[in-house]
Amino acid sequence: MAAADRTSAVSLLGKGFLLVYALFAAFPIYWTLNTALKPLGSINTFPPTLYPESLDLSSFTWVLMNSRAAGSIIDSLIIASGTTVLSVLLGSLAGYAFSRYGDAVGGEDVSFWLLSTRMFPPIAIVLPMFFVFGWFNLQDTHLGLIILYLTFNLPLTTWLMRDFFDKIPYSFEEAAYVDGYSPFAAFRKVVFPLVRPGLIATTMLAWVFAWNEFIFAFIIAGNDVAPYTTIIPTLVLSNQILWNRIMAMAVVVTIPPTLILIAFRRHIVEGMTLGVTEL
Amino acid sequence: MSTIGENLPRAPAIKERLSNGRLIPYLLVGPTILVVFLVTIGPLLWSLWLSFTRWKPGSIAFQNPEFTGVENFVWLVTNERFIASVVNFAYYGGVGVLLQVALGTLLALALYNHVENRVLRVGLLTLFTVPMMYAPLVAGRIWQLLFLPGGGVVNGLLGTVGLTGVGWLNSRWLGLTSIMIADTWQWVGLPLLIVYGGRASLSESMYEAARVDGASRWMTFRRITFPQLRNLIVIAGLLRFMDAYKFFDKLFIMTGGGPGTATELPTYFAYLVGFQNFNIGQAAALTWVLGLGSVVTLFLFWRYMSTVQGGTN
Repeated sequence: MAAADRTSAVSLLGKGFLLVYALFAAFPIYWTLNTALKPLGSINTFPPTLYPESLDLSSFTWVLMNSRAAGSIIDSLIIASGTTVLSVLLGSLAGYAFSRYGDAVGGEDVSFWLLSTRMFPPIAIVLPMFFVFGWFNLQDTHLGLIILYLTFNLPLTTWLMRDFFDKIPYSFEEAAYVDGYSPFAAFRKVVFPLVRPGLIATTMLAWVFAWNEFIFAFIIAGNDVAPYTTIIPTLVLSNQILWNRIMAMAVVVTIPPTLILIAFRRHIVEGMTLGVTEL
Repeated sequence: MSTIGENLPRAPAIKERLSNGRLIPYLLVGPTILVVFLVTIGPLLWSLWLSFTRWKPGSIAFQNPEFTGVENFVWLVTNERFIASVVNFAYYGGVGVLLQVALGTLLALALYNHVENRVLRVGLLTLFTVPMMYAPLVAGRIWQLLFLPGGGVVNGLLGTVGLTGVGWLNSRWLGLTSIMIADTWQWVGLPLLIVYGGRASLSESMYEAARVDGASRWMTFRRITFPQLRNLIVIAGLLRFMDAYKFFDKLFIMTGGGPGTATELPTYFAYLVGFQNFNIGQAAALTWVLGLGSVVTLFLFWRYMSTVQGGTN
């Protein structure tokens, strides 16, 4: 009996710990929404009001209607989508080669070396690129940020796609060749359907990383082209921080990544952990 | 490899190689390698050269890069502000990563062992990992609101239960710790997911055997769970530690390095030297030192991964 008591005590402790942490994890998310729905005057009150006394949707209207706020979200959309298309396209080709012709192109060593370029601090890359972009008139342009975001997304997509292709046995393709398929047909009919979930997850991850980027955008752009991350630090009116608008923006811009996580959880997890969960 | 033993080194025409399919791998990898050279390797090499020069584009005296040898590196290692930022980095990277990995491991095991309901389990997993999908800048802004010195939410809530609030972001160690809390909130999901995946893949028969032998829960954890998951826990820690070299967004928004220069981390100092003082040579030296640090960490990670994989295969 004593052992059983101890077991249930441990179980209770575990559940309690999870409950406490769940409250800690949920609180900032809740408070973002709570602040976004309040008028500016009732935000920093004492004691803090745990829910908005009257719903004020004006901050959300501002995010969706104000040309600077809505425009910044559109800029982010353009840049994130552009860089995602490029990095997934190039990364899939390279990932396929690393997986299927490993030794010819340096195999794991070269693909790991590629991944390692992603580990360099962004500030180290943006410092020289600031001047390079000056020469090519790429500062403050969509194209400039699309190119710059390849620095972290292309190594990622290559690494992940190699990993996803590795999981498809080469014998499947060989069987297709025996059946008289051309390499292209074998890829389209055999490999592609199998790699599609991985491809979707890679696409989503690359998109989220670009969507969330700040330091490149802050240094290279911010005037003509201003992704939402460059707007969020600036929302101040005569020394008063416009918390309700900032938090309304935070709510809006976190919706797409949240939906992506919920919809593609399994594969996103694999991507986020760079495939090490497969060890 | 296949040429070994053949009589003559051949130089087949491109056309022939193409038809053999030998060029295909290079054509597939080529564009990616080219892009990485153009946007990463090339600029980094130029920046390495700049780190040995004095270049202040904003000033009259040093309009163009002028070779000065290791002057910038000497400046760096004798700079008190830089050394203070490295100390902050050691605190942030050391304590912060340990905190995230320990918390993530505990949460993963608690979820696996004590939540039977599948829907609840997935719900909690999603809640714990969703902050990872937020922009670090947005996460920092949210926590700044919570930690605000006057009228902040945390202090306000402390006040309602009769406690006096503190200036969460107004001093060196508390400021760094507050940023660390925000970062833990955002990134605990990574070690959590890695450990959870590892725990789910362990065979139940070991646990059966332990139960039959009457092993206590603590014994089971110490003798079975922890040794089996140790490699994954180290990998999670190294992954998080490598991110510490890039840390910028939350610091920028939450304290801006302040009060004064108290909470500066090396990346933030590099940003100030490069883009506020426009001292490009010094900033290049700084970013290269940082880059080498992250490469060394990555090398350790790579070696660790190889030994781990070699051990299991």
